[in-house]
Amino acid sequence: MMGAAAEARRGTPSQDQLLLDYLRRLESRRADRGAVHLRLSNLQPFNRREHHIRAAAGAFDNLVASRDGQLFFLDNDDLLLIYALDRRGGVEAAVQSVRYFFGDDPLLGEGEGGRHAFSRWYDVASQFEDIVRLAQGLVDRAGPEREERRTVGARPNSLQRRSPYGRPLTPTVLARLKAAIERTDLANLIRRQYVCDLAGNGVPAPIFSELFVSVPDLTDTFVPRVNITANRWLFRHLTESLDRRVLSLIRGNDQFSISGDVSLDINVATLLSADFLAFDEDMPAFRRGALLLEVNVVDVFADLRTFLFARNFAKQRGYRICIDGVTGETMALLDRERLGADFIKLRWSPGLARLPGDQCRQLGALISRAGFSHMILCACEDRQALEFGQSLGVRYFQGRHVERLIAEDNRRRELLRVKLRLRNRRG
Amino acid sequence: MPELQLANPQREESLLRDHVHRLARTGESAWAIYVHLSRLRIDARRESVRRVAVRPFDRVTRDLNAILYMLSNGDFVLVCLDLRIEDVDSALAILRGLVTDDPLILEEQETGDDRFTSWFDLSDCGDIDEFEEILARLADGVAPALPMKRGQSEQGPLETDELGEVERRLQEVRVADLIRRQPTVDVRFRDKQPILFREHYVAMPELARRVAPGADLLANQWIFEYLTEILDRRLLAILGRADFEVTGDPISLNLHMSTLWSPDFQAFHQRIRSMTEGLIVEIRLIDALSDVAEFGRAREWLAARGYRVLIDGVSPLTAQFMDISPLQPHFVKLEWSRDVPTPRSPAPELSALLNSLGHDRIVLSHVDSEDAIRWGLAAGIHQFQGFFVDRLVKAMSLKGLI
Repeated sequence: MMGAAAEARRGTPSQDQLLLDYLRRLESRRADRGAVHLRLSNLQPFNRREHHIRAAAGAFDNLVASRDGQLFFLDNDDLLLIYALDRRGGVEAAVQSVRYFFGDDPLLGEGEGGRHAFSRWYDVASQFEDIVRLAQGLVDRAGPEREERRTVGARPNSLQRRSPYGRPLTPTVLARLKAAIERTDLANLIRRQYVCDLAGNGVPAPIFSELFVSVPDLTDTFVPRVNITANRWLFRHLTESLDRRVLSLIRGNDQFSISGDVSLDINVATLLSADFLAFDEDMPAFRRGALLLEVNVVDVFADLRTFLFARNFAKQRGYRICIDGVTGETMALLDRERLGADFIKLRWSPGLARLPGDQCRQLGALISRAGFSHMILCACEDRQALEFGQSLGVRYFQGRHVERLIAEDNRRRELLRVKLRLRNRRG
Repeated sequence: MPELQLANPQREESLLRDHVHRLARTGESAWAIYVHLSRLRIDARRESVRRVAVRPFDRVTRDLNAILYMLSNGDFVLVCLDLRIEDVDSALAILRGLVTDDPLILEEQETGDDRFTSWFDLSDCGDIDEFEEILARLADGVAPALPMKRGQSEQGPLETDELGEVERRLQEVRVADLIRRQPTVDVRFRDKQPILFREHYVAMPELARRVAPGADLLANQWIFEYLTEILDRRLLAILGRADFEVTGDPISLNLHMSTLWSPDFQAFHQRIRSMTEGLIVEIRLIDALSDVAEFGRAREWLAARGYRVLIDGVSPLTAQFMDISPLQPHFVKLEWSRDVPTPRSPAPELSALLNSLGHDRIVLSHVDSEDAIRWGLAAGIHQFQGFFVDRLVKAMSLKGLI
């Protein structure tokens, strides 16, 4: 079996990989792309405050919005822009405005040498390897600390799980992260995890898949060594920005939207936003039933009246609702039918298996009341989770262990196909 | 999809008045529907709510001859020319479907009275007069204005990049003079000792003026929770220094669960450890919900040391949708608002909560009127907190009754 560290590494690209991924996708279009590296890290510290970095990045807003440019925030405060060559004029003007903004910095007062120290231009076609090296340089800088965190690897719904690693998210870093999220194509950070029916003969039958932004990868990409879930309220606030980005990604991307039933995490506020209405407008009516909206239980009760309104709206439009963020302890408080939810996602934790008999029976009764076909046990890391859920009648499961079962099943099928082919050839 | 222009309802009102005036002059056959969105319990002046509420009318305004006007009080008007009633009816049915849980709509289903929409025939002089009068009242600002609710003041929301600065100020600003006390009273008046406890809290509007003038701290729930977490520590530092025995009545404090594990609370606890029985810790329901297991641990820890735990931020509506009793709090504070599900008789779920927790554990808060007391008494509640109660207590103490 593969070690946990290796496994986590395999599935989780980091900042440099994100950039490398992007470059790789770019390979066929190299000829019409340019890059510029803004070395803000060479500026004086007093010129490198959050708002400076944001202002500098802001100069490229139009390019990014029109998809003519992609901006990467490097963790030393440098910026790397990859842009369409036919927009070179616009990029130069934007770089000029950034230069002007930092005009009082000694770096920019040093004539041509200073110019070069501040911005460096690349021709992607001929200097592709240089850019790749630049991207790889980030790997080295990140060092072993990153490696250590990676092995901890939080999982999708671990929105509330707190990693003891990293500095807590501060408002300043939050502002920077939000700005970065607005400007970046998050496609590389989106993960998919299946919810499967395991009621059959142990072969996982996918019911739908959840699309979510990988929190560890998001962290590594934009704010390495920061624990963005450390404060639950700031994190909830951050998810509102993520919601909007994910909606716009899915809206413009068939790859996400046409492959079976899909679920998304979403805030109540987002459901009532112009972004969601536009998303809904674009969504063919027959597809809406294929989308499940996962609302966190805290968000539901933060403003219940508004949740009911948003829920009625979503259901009228044909979407299904799932209540997320539910633990064994929360189950006793909730009435699924009353809340009008199609599913409740109960989060597995090893503590559930240690429940005394009467409490376990009580949880079983609550699951039965919610309805076996409306309960999902999520965050199933190992076989124990599945066994526990099945002992209480749960049939839908999600989590790393379920992914493993799917992979195993695929391998088995593949093997079967090979065998069949061999036999046919012999026959 | 075109973005809705909700920015200037005053201008829309004036356009509507002109339109009605023109129709009255030409005698064209037209009618108007006034939709009383503001009579709903949901916050009709919030842009997001209105955006969704008027969306069912997109078709009639786009494809048919109807114009929609947003009004400043949250209501809206649809003026229709050559339109079949059925076209509007289907849109209205969708809108009603969005608010089926609202008492107004529930009542409508019971009595058959339409209190949600008013219809005007704009070719009828009497109707026009009546309609114009309503619009004139809006313009004068005498129309029943909605009270300001959370997140809808004149001020803009707090931007994330301002948050760091607000946090810094919050850590330094003078808070001691903004601490208010509000009693919770048992109206059964046993042993002439009606005061159950006094909540100590920081007056938020005043504080907001000091740390973030021009911004609405309540606009985003999560940011508000974050800032009040910081405030917890300020409050503890101040109260930890105060002389506890002098205060007499038990006191209650609103704290976040995260604060309970902080060194600040531990230091506070060390100082007052012999007097914990006089202290009630109020924890907001959403805070408890964000980690119910942690709430359980906090409750155990506090109870073992003599504190009592109160769940705050529960509306009677919440009680209808959630069973709070498994949280086993010593008290639950139900927030009175006109949003009570059934004004006349309390919902069965509420009675269930009272029965399972015991009537002595329920406090009705935000009591601002006699109505609230009456509603509470009818529901079997006898412990109250709010501005109306403050006046009551003041009057009683003036008369030497307490």
